[in-house]
Amino acid sequence: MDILNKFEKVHPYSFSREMDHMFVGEYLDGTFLFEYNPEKNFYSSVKEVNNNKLIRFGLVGNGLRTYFNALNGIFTFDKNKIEILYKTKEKEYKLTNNNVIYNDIIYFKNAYSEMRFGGVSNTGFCGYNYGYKAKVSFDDGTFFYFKPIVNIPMGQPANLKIWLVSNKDLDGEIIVRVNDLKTYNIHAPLNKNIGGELTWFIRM
Amino acid sequence: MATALKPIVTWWEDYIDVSDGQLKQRPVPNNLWDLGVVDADNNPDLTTHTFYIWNNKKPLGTSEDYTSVPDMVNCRITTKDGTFGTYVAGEMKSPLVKEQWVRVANVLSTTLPESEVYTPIGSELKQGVLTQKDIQITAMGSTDGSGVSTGVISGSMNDGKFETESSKNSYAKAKAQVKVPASANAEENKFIVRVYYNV
Repeated sequence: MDILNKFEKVHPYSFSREMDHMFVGEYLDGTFLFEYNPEKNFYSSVKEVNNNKLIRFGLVGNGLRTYFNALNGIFTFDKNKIEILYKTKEKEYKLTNNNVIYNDIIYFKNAYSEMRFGGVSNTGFCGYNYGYKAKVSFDDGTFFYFKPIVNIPMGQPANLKIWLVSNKDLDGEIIVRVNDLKTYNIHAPLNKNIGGELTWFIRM
Repeated sequence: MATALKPIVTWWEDYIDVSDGQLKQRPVPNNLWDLGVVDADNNPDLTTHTFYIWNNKKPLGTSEDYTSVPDMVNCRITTKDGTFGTYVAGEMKSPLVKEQWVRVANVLSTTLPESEVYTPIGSELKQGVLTQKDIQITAMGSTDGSGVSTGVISGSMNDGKFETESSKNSYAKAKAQVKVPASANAEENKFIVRVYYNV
């Protein structure tokens, strides 16, 4: 664990009682942008995150810290390291930890409003999502558009949605590698320029 | 810079004002769509009800703290079980939900009355898994501005009036009806009409 990782020291509960999780952006200079500022009592939009200064971006809430590192795209979920690769018979393509900056961030909350028998109206958040999109290129001319999103639905297991498209037909598998040790291989053949998405339930 | 956390969603409906016989709009009373008794194998057209899902509708009178709120993105409408009998609110197991008795048409500014399409919503079995069945809804959309993207209900400030062209970006119009199949049992049904969206 990186000594300079200040994200791991952030109180792992949402600072606002209006939501279970909130986004946290950690900057290279050690400062933060929190979705909710309890001192000044206001919310910030994800559009206000300064992507150029970003080092880590993710969520805290319900005792959980989860984020990715904008320099290498590697996710951390409750202190577990999650890397993603694409592997064919010939070659292993590292989608995370490649030579790009992973700072095109994505963040949104799932919510609902209902009309309900009994007359009670409510609007609540039912899921929290963060991730990024990146174009990852390789020296054999292959490139991928890669969009991993961590989804934390309320009352259901957290999962990682991996959206992937390549510029070539590839018959390979997506590999999720946890803590440099355990791997989960999912067969995922890709047709040129056709996106595919899979959902992997986060487990260690 | 501060932003509002949530959209402010209110449900409105068409009704007939008995004092002058005109079609008007009002907040859905008690947030409840009371269908009364619907017979099995009914004519669904007779149950048609028009709803409006507003985001950030301007309150009546002056309000100093009225500001923009986030847009509702990727809006989808569906039904869920209410609490009755052995059913639990929010699940998808009651006949009304599972057999998709409720059908919805999303009406846009450009929709012609004859081309309104009702799509059944509720839940369905997909590869053995009971899965939500919904349809996307979009704000009516102003025809003299940029309108909204598909699936979006704008959270911008508006004048709160249904007929103002620019305000049509701030509410979605959905017509709902119920078709009870001939095989249905005569029993009470409670259900929730829910709009899912992203912020």
